[in-house]
Amino acid sequence: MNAPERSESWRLNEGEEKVDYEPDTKIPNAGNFIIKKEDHTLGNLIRMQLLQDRQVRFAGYLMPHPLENIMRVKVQTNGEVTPMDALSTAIEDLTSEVDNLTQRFAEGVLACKRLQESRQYQ
Amino acid sequence: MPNTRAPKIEVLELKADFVKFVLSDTDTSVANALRRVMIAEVPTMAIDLVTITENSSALQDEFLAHRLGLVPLRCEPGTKFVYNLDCDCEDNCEQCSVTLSLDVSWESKAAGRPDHEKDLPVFVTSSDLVSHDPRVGPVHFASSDIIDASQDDGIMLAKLSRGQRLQLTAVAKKGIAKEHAKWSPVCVATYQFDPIIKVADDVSATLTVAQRQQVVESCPVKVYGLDERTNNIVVRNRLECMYCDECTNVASSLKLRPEDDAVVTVTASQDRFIFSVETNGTIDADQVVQQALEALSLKLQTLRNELINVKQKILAAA
Ligand code: SF4
Ligand SMILES: [Zn+2]
Repeated sequence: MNAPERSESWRLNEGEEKVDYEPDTKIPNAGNFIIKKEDHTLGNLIRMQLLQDRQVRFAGYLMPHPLENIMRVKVQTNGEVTPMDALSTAIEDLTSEVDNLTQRFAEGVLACKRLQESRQYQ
Repeated sequence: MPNTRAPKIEVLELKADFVKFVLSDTDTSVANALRRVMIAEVPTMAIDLVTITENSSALQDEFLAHRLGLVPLRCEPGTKFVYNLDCDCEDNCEQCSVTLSLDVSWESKAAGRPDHEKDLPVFVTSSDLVSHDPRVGPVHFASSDIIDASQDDGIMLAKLSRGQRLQLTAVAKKGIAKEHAKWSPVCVATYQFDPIIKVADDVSATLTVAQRQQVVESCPVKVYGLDERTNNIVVRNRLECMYCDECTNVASSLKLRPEDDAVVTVTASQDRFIFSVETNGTIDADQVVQQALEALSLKLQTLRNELINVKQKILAAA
Protein backbone atom coordinates (compact mmCIF):
# COMPACT_ATOMS: atom_id res chain seq x y z
CA MET A 1 0.00 0.00 0.00
CA ASN A 2 1.29 3.44 -0.81
CA ALA A 3 -0.89 5.45 1.55
CA PRO A 4 1.23 7.93 3.50
CA GLU A 5 1.53 7.59 7.27
CA ARG A 6 -1.45 9.33 8.88
CA SER A 7 0.64 11.49 11.16
CA GLU A 8 2.80 12.64 8.28
CA SER A 9 0.92 15.92 7.91
CA TRP A 10 2.22 17.29 11.18
CA ARG A 11 5.04 15.19 12.64
CA LEU A 12 8.59 15.41 11.39
CA ASN A 13 9.89 12.17 9.92
CA GLU A 14 12.84 10.59 11.63
CA GLY A 15 16.01 12.59 11.02
CA GLU A 16 14.15 15.32 9.15
CA GLU A 17 15.16 18.93 9.79
CA LYS A 18 12.36 21.39 10.49
CA VAL A 19 13.92 24.18 8.45
CA ASP A 20 16.22 24.19 5.43
CA TYR A 21 17.76 27.35 4.09
CA GLU A 22 18.78 27.97 0.48
CA PRO A 23 20.34 31.30 -0.38
CA ASP A 24 19.03 32.58 -3.69
CA THR A 25 21.71 32.35 -6.38
CA LYS A 26 20.21 34.89 -8.76
CA ILE A 27 18.82 37.66 -6.56
CA PRO A 28 20.98 39.54 -4.03
CA ASN A 29 20.07 39.49 -0.34
CA ALA A 30 17.43 36.83 -0.91
CA GLY A 31 16.85 33.35 0.37
CA ASN A 32 14.34 30.53 0.54
CA PHE A 33 13.32 28.82 3.73
CA ILE A 34 11.79 25.38 3.41
CA ILE A 35 9.72 24.76 6.51
CA LYS A 36 8.47 21.22 6.94
CA LYS A 37 5.11 20.17 8.33
CA GLU A 38 3.68 23.65 8.25
CA ASP A 39 0.93 25.16 6.14
CA HIS A 40 -0.96 28.41 5.49
CA THR A 41 -1.46 28.91 9.23
CA LEU A 42 2.15 29.90 9.76
CA GLY A 43 2.89 30.75 6.14
CA ASN A 44 0.54 33.66 5.83
CA LEU A 45 1.24 34.79 9.38
CA ILE A 46 4.98 35.00 8.71
CA ARG A 47 4.58 36.61 5.32
CA MET A 48 2.33 39.40 6.58
CA GLN A 49 4.66 40.05 9.51
CA LEU A 50 7.69 40.20 7.20
CA LEU A 51 5.90 42.72 5.01
CA GLN A 52 5.62 45.06 8.02
CA ASP A 53 9.39 45.22 8.16
CA ARG A 54 10.80 48.16 6.20
CA GLN A 55 14.08 46.34 5.63
CA VAL A 56 12.25 43.57 3.76
CA ARG A 57 11.82 44.15 0.05
CA PHE A 58 9.95 40.98 -0.78
CA ALA A 59 8.26 38.29 1.25
CA GLY A 60 6.10 35.50 -0.06
CA TYR A 61 5.20 31.96 0.79
CA LEU A 62 3.83 29.03 -1.09
CA MET A 63 2.82 25.46 -0.54
CA PRO A 64 4.23 23.70 -3.57
CA HIS A 65 1.68 20.87 -3.44
CA PRO A 66 -1.19 20.07 -1.07
CA LEU A 67 0.08 16.52 -0.58
CA GLU A 68 3.58 17.63 0.31
CA ASN A 69 3.60 18.95 3.83
CA ILE A 70 6.13 21.67 3.24
CA MET A 71 5.99 25.40 2.90
CA ARG A 72 8.49 27.67 1.17
CA VAL A 73 9.09 31.23 2.33
CA LYS A 74 11.04 33.57 0.10
CA VAL A 75 12.55 36.69 1.62
CA GLN A 76 14.52 39.50 0.02
CA THR A 77 15.92 42.28 2.17
CA ASN A 78 17.44 45.65 1.34
CA GLY A 79 20.89 44.40 2.41
CA GLU A 80 20.95 45.91 5.87
CA VAL A 81 19.98 42.59 7.39
CA THR A 82 20.17 39.02 6.14
CA PRO A 83 16.95 37.19 5.19
CA MET A 84 17.66 34.89 8.13
CA ASP A 85 17.69 37.77 10.61
CA ALA A 86 14.61 39.34 9.07
CA LEU A 87 12.72 36.09 9.53
CA SER A 88 13.99 35.71 13.08
CA THR A 89 12.79 39.21 13.93
CA ALA A 90 9.39 38.54 12.38
CA ILE A 91 8.99 35.36 14.40
CA GLU A 92 10.19 37.09 17.55
CA ASP A 93 7.57 39.81 17.07
CA LEU A 94 4.81 37.31 16.36
CA THR A 95 5.68 35.28 19.44
CA SER A 96 5.38 38.32 21.65
CA GLU A 97 2.11 39.29 19.97
CA VAL A 98 0.61 35.84 20.51
CA ASP A 99 1.82 35.70 24.12
CA ASN A 100 0.30 39.11 24.63
CA LEU A 101 -2.96 37.85 23.15
CA THR A 102 -3.01 34.86 25.47
CA GLN A 103 -2.87 37.24 28.40
CA ARG A 104 -5.49 39.60 26.95
CA PHE A 105 -7.84 36.68 26.39
CA ALA A 106 -7.47 35.41 29.94
CA GLU A 107 -8.24 38.91 31.19
CA GLY A 108 -11.23 39.17 28.86
CA VAL A 109 -12.62 35.87 30.13
CA LEU A 110 -12.23 37.01 33.73
CA ALA A 111 -13.93 40.33 33.01
CA CYS A 112 -16.79 38.56 31.24
CA LYS A 113 -17.24 36.09 34.11
CA ARG A 114 -17.31 38.93 36.62
CA LEU A 115 -19.92 40.72 34.56
CA GLN A 116 -22.06 37.58 34.37
CA GLU A 117 -21.81 37.11 38.14
CA SER A 118 -22.77 40.70 38.90
CA ARG A 119 -25.78 40.31 36.62
CA GLN A 120 -26.86 37.22 38.51
CA TYR A 121 -26.90 39.03 41.85
CA GLN A 122 -29.06 41.84 40.57
CA MET B 1 13.47 46.69 14.24
CA PRO B 2 10.48 45.39 16.15
CA ASN B 3 7.09 45.70 14.53
CA THR B 4 4.86 44.42 17.26
CA ARG B 5 1.23 45.33 17.47
CA ALA B 6 -0.73 45.46 20.67
CA PRO B 7 -3.93 43.59 19.88
CA LYS B 8 -6.93 43.70 22.18
CA ILE B 9 -9.54 41.13 23.05
CA GLU B 10 -13.00 41.77 24.41
CA VAL B 11 -15.11 38.77 25.38
CA LEU B 12 -18.76 39.42 24.52
CA GLU B 13 -20.40 36.15 25.44
CA LEU B 14 -19.15 33.14 27.37
CA LYS B 15 -20.83 29.82 27.94
CA ALA B 16 -19.38 26.36 28.54
CA ASP B 17 -19.69 25.48 24.89
CA PHE B 18 -19.68 28.89 23.22
CA VAL B 19 -17.56 32.00 23.26
CA LYS B 20 -17.87 35.16 21.23
CA PHE B 21 -15.10 37.73 21.32
CA VAL B 22 -13.73 40.69 19.44
CA LEU B 23 -10.10 40.65 18.39
CA SER B 24 -8.93 44.10 17.41
CA ASP B 25 -5.86 46.09 16.38
CA THR B 26 -4.23 43.28 14.50
CA ASP B 27 -3.95 41.78 11.06
CA THR B 28 -6.18 39.32 9.18
CA SER B 29 -3.28 36.86 9.11
CA VAL B 30 -3.32 36.65 12.92
CA ALA B 31 -7.09 36.20 13.03
CA ASN B 32 -6.87 33.52 10.39
CA ALA B 33 -3.99 31.71 12.08
CA LEU B 34 -5.96 31.64 15.32
CA ARG B 35 -9.03 30.29 13.54
CA ARG B 36 -7.06 27.61 11.73
CA VAL B 37 -5.27 26.48 14.89
CA MET B 38 -8.57 26.21 16.78
CA ILE B 39 -10.00 24.00 14.07
CA ALA B 40 -7.05 21.78 13.31
CA GLU B 41 -4.31 21.96 15.92
CA VAL B 42 -5.78 21.88 19.39
CA PRO B 43 -5.24 18.36 20.71
CA THR B 44 -8.16 16.28 22.00
CA MET B 45 -8.87 12.61 22.63
CA ALA B 46 -10.71 10.39 20.15
CA ILE B 47 -11.14 6.67 19.64
CA ASP B 48 -8.42 5.50 17.30
CA LEU B 49 -8.16 1.75 17.71
CA VAL B 50 -11.08 -0.66 18.05
CA THR B 51 -10.84 -4.35 18.85
CA ILE B 52 -14.10 -6.06 18.05
CA THR B 53 -14.72 -9.31 19.87
CA GLU B 54 -18.22 -9.89 18.64
CA ASN B 55 -20.27 -8.04 16.09
CA SER B 56 -23.40 -9.77 14.94
CA SER B 57 -25.15 -6.47 14.15
CA ALA B 58 -26.07 -5.43 10.64
CA LEU B 59 -23.11 -3.03 10.44
CA GLN B 60 -19.64 -3.97 9.28
CA ASP B 61 -16.73 -3.65 11.69
CA GLU B 62 -15.11 -0.80 9.72
CA PHE B 63 -18.31 1.21 9.65
CA LEU B 64 -18.74 0.77 13.36
CA ALA B 65 -15.12 1.70 14.09
CA HIS B 66 -15.54 4.89 12.09
CA ARG B 67 -18.68 5.83 13.98
CA LEU B 68 -16.90 5.22 17.27
CA GLY B 69 -14.02 7.42 16.20
CA LEU B 70 -16.37 10.32 15.62
CA VAL B 71 -17.83 10.23 19.13
CA PRO B 72 -16.52 13.30 20.95
CA LEU B 73 -14.80 12.44 24.23
CA ARG B 74 -14.77 14.97 27.00
CA CYS B 75 -11.59 15.48 29.01
CA GLU B 76 -11.73 16.95 32.50
CA PRO B 77 -9.99 20.34 32.47
CA GLY B 78 -6.34 19.92 33.34
CA THR B 79 -6.10 16.33 32.13
CA LYS B 80 -2.83 15.91 30.27
CA PHE B 81 -1.93 13.11 27.93
CA VAL B 82 1.11 12.54 25.75
CA TYR B 83 0.98 11.55 22.12
CA ASN B 84 0.99 7.80 21.67
CA LEU B 85 3.94 8.05 19.28
CA ASP B 86 5.99 9.98 21.86
CA CYS B 87 5.20 7.59 24.68
CA ASP B 88 7.75 5.06 25.92
CA CYS B 89 5.18 2.28 26.27
CA GLU B 90 4.95 -0.61 23.87
CA ASP B 91 1.37 -0.31 22.59
CA ASN B 92 -0.53 2.05 24.84
CA CYS B 93 -0.71 2.99 28.51
CA GLU B 94 -2.56 5.39 30.83
CA GLN B 95 -0.21 8.22 29.93
CA CYS B 96 -1.09 8.19 26.26
CA SER B 97 -4.49 6.56 25.91
CA VAL B 98 -7.80 5.69 27.47
CA THR B 99 -9.56 2.36 27.06
CA LEU B 100 -13.32 2.21 26.67
CA SER B 101 -15.38 -0.92 26.45
CA LEU B 102 -18.81 -1.69 25.13
CA ASP B 103 -20.84 -4.83 25.55
CA VAL B 104 -24.49 -4.76 24.56
CA SER B 105 -26.72 -7.57 23.48
CA TRP B 106 -30.33 -7.42 22.46
CA GLU B 107 -31.26 -9.71 25.34
CA SER B 108 -29.58 -7.54 27.98
CA LYS B 109 -31.30 -4.37 26.83
CA ALA B 110 -34.68 -5.75 25.88
CA ALA B 111 -35.17 -7.47 29.23
CA GLY B 112 -37.90 -5.91 31.29
CA ARG B 113 -39.58 -4.20 28.38
CA PRO B 114 -43.37 -4.08 28.18
CA ASP B 115 -44.89 -6.82 26.01
CA HIS B 116 -45.87 -4.67 23.03
CA GLU B 117 -42.26 -3.46 22.68
CA LYS B 118 -40.73 -6.91 23.09
CA ASP B 119 -39.66 -7.42 19.51
CA LEU B 120 -38.42 -3.93 18.68
CA PRO B 121 -34.68 -3.44 18.11
CA VAL B 122 -32.52 -1.98 20.88
CA PHE B 123 -30.27 1.03 20.41
CA VAL B 124 -26.57 1.02 21.14
CA THR B 125 -25.48 4.58 21.93
CA SER B 126 -22.40 6.35 23.15
CA SER B 127 -23.76 6.12 26.69
CA ASP B 128 -23.10 2.37 26.53
CA LEU B 129 -19.39 3.08 26.20
CA VAL B 130 -17.73 2.53 29.56
CA SER B 131 -14.56 4.51 30.05
CA HIS B 132 -11.80 3.02 32.18
CA ASP B 133 -10.56 6.52 33.07
CA PRO B 134 -13.01 8.68 35.04
CA ARG B 135 -11.49 11.87 33.60
CA VAL B 136 -12.43 10.99 30.03
CA GLY B 137 -15.74 9.85 28.67
CA PRO B 138 -18.21 10.30 25.83
CA VAL B 139 -19.70 13.77 25.83
CA HIS B 140 -23.43 14.17 25.70
CA PHE B 141 -24.26 17.74 26.36
CA ALA B 142 -22.01 20.56 27.28
CA SER B 143 -24.25 21.97 29.97
CA SER B 144 -26.26 20.21 32.62
CA ASP B 145 -29.34 22.40 32.04
CA ILE B 146 -29.84 20.95 28.59
CA ILE B 147 -29.18 17.41 29.75
CA ASP B 148 -32.09 17.59 32.18
CA ALA B 149 -34.41 19.16 29.65
CA SER B 150 -33.78 16.64 26.90
CA GLN B 151 -34.67 13.01 26.58
CA ASP B 152 -31.58 12.21 24.60
CA ASP B 153 -29.55 9.27 25.76
CA GLY B 154 -26.43 9.46 23.70
CA ILE B 155 -25.16 9.30 20.17
CA MET B 156 -26.62 6.42 18.16
CA LEU B 157 -23.98 3.87 17.20
CA ALA B 158 -25.99 0.85 16.04
CA LYS B 159 -29.30 -0.94 16.38
CA LEU B 160 -29.55 -4.58 17.43
CA SER B 161 -32.39 -6.96 16.87
CA ARG B 162 -33.12 -10.23 18.63
CA GLY B 163 -30.06 -12.40 19.11
CA GLN B 164 -27.52 -9.77 18.05
CA ARG B 165 -24.62 -8.61 20.16
CA LEU B 166 -21.87 -6.04 20.10
CA GLN B 167 -18.76 -6.48 22.19
CA LEU B 168 -15.64 -4.41 21.72
CA THR B 169 -12.86 -2.43 23.35
CA ALA B 170 -11.80 0.90 21.98
CA VAL B 171 -8.60 2.81 22.62
CA ALA B 172 -8.79 6.59 22.55
CA LYS B 173 -5.60 8.49 21.79
CA LYS B 174 -4.54 12.09 21.76
CA GLY B 175 -4.34 13.72 18.37
CA ILE B 176 -4.99 16.81 16.31
CA ALA B 177 -7.49 17.43 13.55
CA LYS B 178 -4.77 17.93 10.97
CA GLU B 179 -4.50 14.16 11.03
CA HIS B 180 -8.21 13.39 11.20
CA ALA B 181 -11.22 15.68 11.73
CA LYS B 182 -12.46 13.53 14.62
CA TRP B 183 -9.88 15.28 16.81
CA SER B 184 -11.27 18.74 16.17
CA PRO B 185 -12.58 20.35 19.37
CA VAL B 186 -14.88 22.81 17.59
CA CYS B 187 -18.06 22.67 15.55
CA VAL B 188 -17.94 26.32 14.63
CA ALA B 189 -14.88 28.50 14.65
CA THR B 190 -15.38 31.51 12.45
CA TYR B 191 -14.71 35.18 12.46
CA GLN B 192 -16.46 38.00 10.68
CA PHE B 193 -15.19 41.45 9.92
CA ASP B 194 -16.74 44.06 12.14
CA PRO B 195 -19.23 45.96 9.95
CA ILE B 196 -18.97 49.72 9.67
CA ILE B 197 -22.42 51.03 8.74
CA LYS B 198 -22.80 54.71 8.04
CA VAL B 199 -26.01 56.62 7.51
CA ALA B 200 -25.54 59.91 5.66
CA ASP B 201 -27.94 62.22 7.48
CA ASP B 202 -27.76 64.95 4.84
CA VAL B 203 -28.78 62.48 2.12
CA SER B 204 -31.39 61.01 4.38
CA ALA B 205 -32.93 64.46 4.77
CA THR B 206 -33.62 64.60 1.03
CA LEU B 207 -35.60 61.35 1.11
CA THR B 208 -39.27 60.92 1.92
CA VAL B 209 -40.23 58.91 4.96
CA ALA B 210 -41.54 56.14 2.67
CA GLN B 211 -38.17 55.96 0.95
CA ARG B 212 -36.38 55.75 4.29
CA GLN B 213 -38.79 53.02 5.30
CA GLN B 214 -37.87 51.20 2.11
CA VAL B 215 -34.17 51.25 3.05
CA VAL B 216 -34.95 50.10 6.58
CA GLU B 217 -37.11 47.25 5.37
CA SER B 218 -34.63 46.10 2.72
CA CYS B 219 -32.37 44.60 5.37
CA PRO B 220 -33.24 40.93 5.96
CA VAL B 221 -31.73 40.90 9.45
CA LYS B 222 -33.21 44.19 10.66
CA VAL B 223 -30.02 46.14 11.11
CA TYR B 224 -31.79 49.47 10.68
CA GLY B 225 -34.71 51.11 12.34
CA LEU B 226 -36.56 54.40 12.04
CA ASP B 227 -36.30 56.82 14.91
CA GLU B 228 -39.83 57.26 16.30
CA ARG B 229 -39.57 61.00 16.79
CA THR B 230 -37.44 62.22 13.91
CA ASN B 231 -38.12 59.44 11.39
CA ASN B 232 -34.42 59.25 10.65
CA ILE B 233 -32.68 56.00 9.73
CA VAL B 234 -30.75 54.63 12.72
CA VAL B 235 -28.50 51.59 13.06
CA ARG B 236 -29.97 49.21 15.64
CA ASN B 237 -28.26 45.81 15.27
CA ARG B 238 -24.95 46.55 13.67
CA LEU B 239 -23.38 43.18 14.53
CA GLU B 240 -26.14 41.27 12.75
CA CYS B 241 -25.01 42.53 9.36
CA MET B 242 -23.97 39.79 6.95
CA TYR B 243 -22.79 41.97 4.07
CA CYS B 244 -25.60 40.99 1.73
CA ASP B 245 -25.66 44.46 0.09
CA GLU B 246 -29.47 44.62 -0.02
CA CYS B 247 -29.55 47.99 1.70
CA THR B 248 -26.82 49.52 -0.45
CA ASN B 249 -28.61 48.36 -3.62
CA VAL B 250 -31.79 50.06 -2.49
CA ALA B 251 -29.80 53.09 -1.45
CA SER B 252 -28.20 53.44 -4.87
CA SER B 253 -31.56 53.01 -6.59
CA LEU B 254 -32.79 55.99 -4.56
CA LYS B 255 -30.01 58.23 -5.85
CA LEU B 256 -31.16 61.03 -8.14
CA ARG B 257 -27.87 61.10 -10.01
CA PRO B 258 -25.37 58.21 -10.11
CA GLU B 259 -22.59 60.40 -8.67
CA ASP B 260 -24.60 61.26 -5.55
CA ASP B 261 -23.70 59.82 -2.15
CA ALA B 262 -25.69 56.80 -1.08
CA VAL B 263 -27.82 57.14 2.02
CA VAL B 264 -26.26 54.10 3.69
CA THR B 265 -22.85 52.53 3.21
CA VAL B 266 -21.60 49.21 4.56
CA THR B 267 -17.88 48.49 4.78
CA ALA B 268 -15.86 45.81 6.53
CA SER B 269 -13.41 46.85 9.20
CA GLN B 270 -9.92 45.59 8.42
CA ASP B 271 -8.68 45.25 11.98
CA ARG B 272 -11.64 44.18 14.08
CA PHE B 273 -12.69 40.54 14.00
CA ILE B 274 -15.67 39.04 15.73
CA PHE B 275 -15.00 35.41 16.55
CA SER B 276 -17.70 32.84 17.26
CA VAL B 277 -16.42 29.57 18.65
CA GLU B 278 -18.69 26.68 19.51
CA THR B 279 -17.16 23.47 20.81
CA ASN B 280 -18.41 19.93 20.43
CA GLY B 281 -18.10 19.48 24.17
CA THR B 282 -14.64 17.96 24.37
CA ILE B 283 -13.05 21.07 25.89
CA ASP B 284 -14.67 24.23 27.27
CA ALA B 285 -14.92 27.05 24.77
CA ASP B 286 -12.57 29.44 26.54
CA GLN B 287 -10.04 26.62 26.85
CA VAL B 288 -10.16 26.04 23.11
CA VAL B 289 -9.09 29.62 22.47
CA GLN B 290 -6.52 29.54 25.25
CA GLN B 291 -5.01 26.28 24.03
CA ALA B 292 -5.04 27.47 20.44
CA LEU B 293 -3.05 30.55 21.39
CA GLU B 294 -0.63 28.38 23.34
CA ALA B 295 -0.27 25.99 20.41
CA LEU B 296 0.40 28.89 18.08
CA SER B 297 3.00 30.30 20.43
CA LEU B 298 4.65 26.89 20.68
CA LYS B 299 4.79 26.59 16.89
CA LEU B 300 6.50 29.96 16.64
CA GLN B 301 8.97 29.11 19.40
CA THR B 302 9.91 25.84 17.73
CA LEU B 303 10.50 27.67 14.51
CA ARG B 304 12.62 30.28 16.22
CA ASN B 305 14.80 27.65 17.85
CA GLU B 306 15.15 25.78 14.57
CA LEU B 307 16.21 28.98 12.83
CA ILE B 308 18.94 29.51 15.41
CA ASN B 309 20.15 25.96 14.69
CA VAL B 310 20.21 26.55 10.95
CA LYS B 311 22.06 29.79 11.44
CA GLN B 312 24.73 28.13 13.53
CA LYS B 313 25.11 25.36 11.00
CA ILE B 314 25.64 27.87 8.21
CA LEU B 315 28.20 29.75 10.29
CA ALA B 316 30.02 26.53 11.09
CA ALA B 317 30.12 25.57 7.41
CA ALA B 318 31.48 28.96 6.31
S1 SF4 C 1 -25.53 44.64 3.99
FE1 SF4 C 1 -27.35 43.34 4.21
S2 SF4 C 1 -27.29 42.68 6.34
FE2 SF4 C 1 -25.88 44.39 6.19
S3 SF4 C 1 -27.10 46.16 6.76
FE3 SF4 C 1 -27.21 46.02 4.53
S4 SF4 C 1 -29.03 44.81 4.14
FE4 SF4 C 1 -28.56 44.52 6.30
ZN1 LIG D 1 1.89 5.15 26.52
